[in-house]
Amino acid sequence: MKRNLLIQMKNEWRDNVWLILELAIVCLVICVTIVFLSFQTEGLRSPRGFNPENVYTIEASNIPKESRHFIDLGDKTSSSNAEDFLTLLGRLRENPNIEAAAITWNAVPYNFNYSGNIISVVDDQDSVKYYGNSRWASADIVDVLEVTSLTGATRKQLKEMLKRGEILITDNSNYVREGRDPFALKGKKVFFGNDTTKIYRVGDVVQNIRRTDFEASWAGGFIVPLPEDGSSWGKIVIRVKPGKTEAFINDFKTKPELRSLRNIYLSDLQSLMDIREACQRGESINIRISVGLIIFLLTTIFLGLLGSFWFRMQQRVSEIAIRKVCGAKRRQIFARVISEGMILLVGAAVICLAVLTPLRDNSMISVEWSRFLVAVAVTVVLVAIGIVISLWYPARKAMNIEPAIAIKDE
Amino acid sequence: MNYFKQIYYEMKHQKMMTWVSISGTALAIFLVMSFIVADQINTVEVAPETNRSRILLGKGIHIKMDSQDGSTMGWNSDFIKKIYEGLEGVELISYIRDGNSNNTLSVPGQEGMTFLPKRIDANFWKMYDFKFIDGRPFNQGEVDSNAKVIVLTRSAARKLFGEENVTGRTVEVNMVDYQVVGVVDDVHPLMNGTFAHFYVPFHGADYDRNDDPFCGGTNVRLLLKEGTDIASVKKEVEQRYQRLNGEKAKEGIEFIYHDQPYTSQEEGMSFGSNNSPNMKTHNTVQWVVYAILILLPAINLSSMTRGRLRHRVAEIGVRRAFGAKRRSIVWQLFGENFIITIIGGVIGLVLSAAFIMLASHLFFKYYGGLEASSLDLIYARPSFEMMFSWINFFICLGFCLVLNILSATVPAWKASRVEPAIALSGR
Repeated sequence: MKRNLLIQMKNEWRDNVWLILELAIVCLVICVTIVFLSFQTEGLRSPRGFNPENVYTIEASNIPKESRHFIDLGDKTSSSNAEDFLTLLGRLRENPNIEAAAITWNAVPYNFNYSGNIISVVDDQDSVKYYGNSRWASADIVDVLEVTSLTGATRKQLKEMLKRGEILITDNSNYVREGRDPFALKGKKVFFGNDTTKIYRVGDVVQNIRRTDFEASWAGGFIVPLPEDGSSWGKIVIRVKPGKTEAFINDFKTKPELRSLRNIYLSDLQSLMDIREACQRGESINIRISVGLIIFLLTTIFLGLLGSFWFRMQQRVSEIAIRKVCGAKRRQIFARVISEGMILLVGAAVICLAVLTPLRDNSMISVEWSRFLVAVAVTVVLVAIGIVISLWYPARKAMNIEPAIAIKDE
Repeated sequence: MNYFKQIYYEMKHQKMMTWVSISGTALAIFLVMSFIVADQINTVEVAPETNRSRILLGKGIHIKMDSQDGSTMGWNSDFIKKIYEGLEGVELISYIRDGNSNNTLSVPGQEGMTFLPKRIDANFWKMYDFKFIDGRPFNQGEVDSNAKVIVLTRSAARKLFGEENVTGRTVEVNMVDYQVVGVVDDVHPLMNGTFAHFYVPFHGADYDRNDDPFCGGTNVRLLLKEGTDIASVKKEVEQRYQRLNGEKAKEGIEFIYHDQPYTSQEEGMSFGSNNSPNMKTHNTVQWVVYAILILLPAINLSSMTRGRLRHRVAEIGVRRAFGAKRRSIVWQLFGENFIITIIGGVIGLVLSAAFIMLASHLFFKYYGGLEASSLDLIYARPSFEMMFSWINFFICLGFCLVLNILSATVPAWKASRVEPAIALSGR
């Protein structure tokens, strides 16, 4: 029967060549899209390094001299501003709806600033350096972002380290790739770039705080402590207690003492989830477009195969009827139609593999074998499902043919 | 009339296949037109950006100092003039600040609210087509003297004061009093060259860096004279870069020209100040996508047309036996197929318009750069005015014709070559 099927397909070779060509194009595009999607979503498969829920950012600013709200404190204006900034930070911490508050500079994720720097160990001549994104923050950043130690240290211990002036470094895939162990830096004295005047001790290794949910971690990062002694200035970032968001927003709006003190005022309260939405818009759209493209291609196959096989079944009414008269079961008729579709898919998959395999590793892109083969397998399964769905209706029609009616003219 | 009768009978007898053909066409046209219309939104000319095709944008500066990369999204307010002032073919030049973070606006006795500003000079009002519903724009004297004057949008005025005619009233911007001199109609967030909630004078020197003669916070817009060739303006800017590089070579300073100033389409494709928008790749990818979107349905439709024509071999044989020429058979079949394609095309066009208006913000990014400047921009949906154009209608018609040629030519030609005797014999 299988041989008969192949002969029958050979007789309709023109139509089948077109169908194989169409399926091959569809397989090619779906396979490339799946590879693209797998790179695009790589970050989603690894820990983010922080928890963005219930986190808010607040801008701190000086009231300018031309404002009627400006209070002239003479020589003390500058020191008072620093003092008042810390007082406002303290008031935020005292608010019953707030879990933690920290001062930050480039420490809040979902921004594409990359303040890269290298860490060198004091008195160590190793040419391989630890490279990462500098994030400055006061100790409470550990609670605000829910920073996680990779050595088992508690958040309290991490905060103590930052308060002591130690830095926290993160895991670093690039450093590991170069044969070094970031954990070996724990406890070492280090300096940034060429600046040997400031020496820091590495307190611990924590989970890398990535810039976005989608971006894979490609280097390291480090949290450098910002002391809360009046010398630091930056954005304030807070973690609101679960379920207390509305209460806090209401407090921030209605209690002026939370927002301003003499020449300092806080404004632009923004949810980190909203910042995430703005920051990741491009990636989210790329993923939606890719999924949309796959759906379009599968729909195209559905319509194409449905159309072609509908006519084929109409042409083969007498043949199917004779098969049934000769004892073929409904299931066998169904299987024969589906097999025809699957043989077309095998032809398309071979073309797809022949085209894509040489392109897998070239000067522009390199896709590892495992990723490539998974993409091909997923493509074949998706297209096979598409074929079964599209052939189901014509095959069912074929199964339901009444032999007596179908061959009455013969 | 014969065409319509024939299609009517086809639809009656081959309901399933006619609808599959129409659906396939509609799907292809829907997707192609969605991509085209979405792409056009970055360049469409709608108030206040009615001169969009004549406006070029100078965004950031990329400097190499002793081969070390340095860049910023703005220029020093004096240095930018060396590049852009006095260019041939430029009608108007406007210095503004593009990167703006939210400001807090408040009126006495009320809570502050967050709004997005645009800091501009007086030429900005002449370059764009703002509709003032109250008051006036600020003038260059007010800009130069750093006067505390503000133009609000209609919705900002309503939120702050509860009404629109608020000229002369006072509003606090980041704790400093500003006097409202005018109120303009709201600007659609997708008009990202002009979109803001309020406009205040831009004083470039305030954003210059003390120790940096090149970088600062100034950006530029150029309105070209009618008929000016954009490439010639770009060429002149490039020559100025080269001249500056010659002067600064001894100091180890190099200015990298990134095809600036940008057209609005290039601006939509740009990100950061160290990259040039790659329009060639963008356009190639776009045409490959269109080709896939058209080619696959064309293959489907072609095989369906062949299937349909197999049932009409006898009819074609009769026609041929009675003297019909091959050409007339081809035209007949081609015309019938074109009507089906047009029906599918119209459905696809309507669907794409509905999709763009309702859900395109989920699938298309309408702004350049890495991040959106506000949530307003993220959730913005194009207005009907931004999408509708007769050009789109004709593009759609063109794609239908291409689809029809690809899907019907071969089957119609083959059907016309059937010998009447063979066709009538039923073989």
